[in-house]
Amino acid sequence: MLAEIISGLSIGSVYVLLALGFTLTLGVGDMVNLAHGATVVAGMYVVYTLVTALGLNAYVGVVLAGVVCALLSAVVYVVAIVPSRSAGGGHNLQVVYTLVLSSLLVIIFQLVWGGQLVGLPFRQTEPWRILGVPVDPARGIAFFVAVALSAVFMVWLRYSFSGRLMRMTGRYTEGAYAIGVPVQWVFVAVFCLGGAMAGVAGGLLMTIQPVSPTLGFGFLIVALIVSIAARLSMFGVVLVGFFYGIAQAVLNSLIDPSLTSVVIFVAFLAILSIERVVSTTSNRARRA
Amino acid sequence: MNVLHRTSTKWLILVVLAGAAFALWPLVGRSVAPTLVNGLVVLFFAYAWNIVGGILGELALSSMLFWGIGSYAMVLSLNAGTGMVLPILGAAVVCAVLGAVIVRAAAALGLTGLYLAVFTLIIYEIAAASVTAIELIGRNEGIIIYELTSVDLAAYLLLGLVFIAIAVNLGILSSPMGRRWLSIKDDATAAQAVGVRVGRERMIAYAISGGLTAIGGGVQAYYLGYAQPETALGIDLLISGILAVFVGGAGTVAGPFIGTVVVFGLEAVAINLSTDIQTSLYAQILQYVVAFAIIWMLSARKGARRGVVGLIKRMLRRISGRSTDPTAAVEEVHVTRAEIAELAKPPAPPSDVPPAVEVIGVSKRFGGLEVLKDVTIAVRPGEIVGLMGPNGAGKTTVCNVITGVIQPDTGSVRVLGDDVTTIPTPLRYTRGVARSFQAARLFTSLTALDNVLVGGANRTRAREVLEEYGLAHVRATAGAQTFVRRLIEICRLVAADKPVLLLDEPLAGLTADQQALVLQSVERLAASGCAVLLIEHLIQSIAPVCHRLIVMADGAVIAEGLPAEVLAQEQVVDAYLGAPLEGAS
Repeated sequence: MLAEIISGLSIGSVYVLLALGFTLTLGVGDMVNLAHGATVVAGMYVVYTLVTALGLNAYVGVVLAGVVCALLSAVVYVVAIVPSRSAGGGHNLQVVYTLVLSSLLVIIFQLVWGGQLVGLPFRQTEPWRILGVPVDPARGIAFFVAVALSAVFMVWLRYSFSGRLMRMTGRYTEGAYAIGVPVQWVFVAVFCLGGAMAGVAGGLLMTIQPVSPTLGFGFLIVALIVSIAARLSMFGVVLVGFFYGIAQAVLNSLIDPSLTSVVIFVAFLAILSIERVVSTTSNRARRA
Repeated sequence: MNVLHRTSTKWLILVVLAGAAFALWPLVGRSVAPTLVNGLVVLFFAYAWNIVGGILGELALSSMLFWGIGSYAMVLSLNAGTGMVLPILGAAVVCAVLGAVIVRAAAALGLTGLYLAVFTLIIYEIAAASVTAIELIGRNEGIIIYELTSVDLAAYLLLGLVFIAIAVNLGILSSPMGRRWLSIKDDATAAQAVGVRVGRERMIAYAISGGLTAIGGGVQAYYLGYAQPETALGIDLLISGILAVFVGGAGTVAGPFIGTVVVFGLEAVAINLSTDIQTSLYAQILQYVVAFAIIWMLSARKGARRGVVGLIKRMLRRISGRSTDPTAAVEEVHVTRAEIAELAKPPAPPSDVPPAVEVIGVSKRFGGLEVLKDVTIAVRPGEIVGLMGPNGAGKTTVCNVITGVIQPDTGSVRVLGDDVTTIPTPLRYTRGVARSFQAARLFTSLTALDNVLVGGANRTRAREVLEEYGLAHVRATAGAQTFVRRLIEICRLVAADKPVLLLDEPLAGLTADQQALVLQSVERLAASGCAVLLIEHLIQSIAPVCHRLIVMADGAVIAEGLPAEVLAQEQVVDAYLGAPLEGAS
């Protein structure tokens, strides 16, 4: 059980990072990016290619994955977000556009890297021992990197000038525009930063698991569930993300792995409805 | 052009096309048939999805669940020897119910827009994930039909289904139901205020769409001879279908067809030229890019949701020289101004007539803010009552309490003598309470005529009223100017002929001439026996037409009586101008 929890913590930390990126785009920028999962996969392939073709260190690859995915997100922004905003279609058009782009990316992955599962070359390493449990060092490093980046991101968004500027521009767009903030560029920055976080999360994932073109959809669902269950609060995302990772690892060891996601999704819907029932009944009680 | 607009012409075209398609199908070569069948699958799916995604305008992503249920039901039933009809009908019924349940659950959770899309996406994911855990339906490998299926029969079935799906779309769009669904897409709150029962309509739409989708899944499985997660629950079909709807024109009859031809046509050609997997992937990329480019170009302007169909309509109008500019209406309205000179205020009804609408002792709190304090208001048939007061006095809240948008904490609302306090908004409309909104809320997907019809008037009456107000030639309502919007809304009220009318600031943003015309129609409505509650803060404008004035301040009624008396009262002047300071003079 302890082994599962530790492995859940490491995967959960990556979920936190990718869900933070999604929450930044949706919560701060009010933009929907359903290509977020595919962006994670793009990050994975970047690391895979750099390591296998150029022999680079995987963690250098992780940094470059962030850069590449930021650029990729800039393209997504221009192709999907800009036209949906100018058409006044709101979220619905963004959902359609980014969903299509997501499928397009899957096809491109298939063309470039083939449809098979591929992984980094196996390397014999001495496992770390945590509480007597052997832990793959790659998982340990992924955990620490993801936690550190998430912490830096949250502190930066909350306290730095540029972080506050982003939040204020998202909330009072017209006011920001009126005082000379280059609003359009701030939104581009928000979107690309979200993408970069997905890319880094993908890069870290690549060090601990193989990749195939269609994995992205699963990561998208993770991002959606975590950030909506957390009601777009950054601290909430941290809690729910870790919980998601641990629940997944533990359930996988207890039941048929293909049922794990079913259980988690159903639990998510149940939590949503319970929350709704509680809030409506408490409203009614207050009225009475 | 006009002939094309007639519904009977559309049905005729559909029947001719269906006949032609069935007659020509045997000529289709063996090599091309599989590609065409794939196209028919996308086409059918697009039409089934258009019902909810296009007409109702909601991004429901759970459709593949219904498709999957249909597919697996077909294979299981054939293998069990229970034939084709049972699984088709069974799955259709099950999925219709399931669709209704899903949208009911989403409504109970208060999910709209993006969150509705995510909710349905996760329901789809639950289905896709659980399929791989069920032994009965072969997990990842799927299940095959043991007996030999007839590919030709399947193709004809699919062809027939496509036309049935088009017929369903056409039937919905040319009926009051389609009008109601489009009005929900534009503005659900305003739709409720004109008597549209949003919850019920949504359930019907999801049920029809879900049932149809299941049938398509079943026939596809019969055609393929198997059902497996990739075909029965793959996301590719969903995305192609949605793309086709958006490219062609969401919520139109021709849209999904045009969209499928554009989206799928390229891929079909490429697949027929080569069987190489690489080529088909490039073809898919090409398909998405072209579709995207089309949506992109169309979305350069607002209202792009109508896709290629919208573009064609705009071009046709430009060629035929018909004006699409709704401002043209105003000039003609000015002609009727001659009548305004004789403002004949109808006499006030005798005081023993029972009120048509009553608000009795209503209070309402929002948290710590008491917005209504024991408010009592009554309006008799044929009476025009002005409800005045400074901003934040609670005028609009009274209006919302009468229409049922807001539930009062205490007190009751009566319409024509019946207590309606607990009755939902759409039913209050059918009982006789009609309202106009502060900023005229038109349904911009509907024409001017449909905007009047959605209020429940019959066609002849609606045309008559539009003619009377000089709006007979106005078609499109998107982008109409304030006065035209206001007039269309008034036409809806006039044509609907409801005994109780609530007009929320009907004069806002109008010139003096336009105000006079609006007030004149208010008087005519009262003369025909309507009880009119006129909410305004332009005192001078409305005082002459009102039989009584009621003044509110800080959520309470502070004065009530004949206009001249009320306006002379000190507390009324204070409420508007502020009380004079002690000692100041």
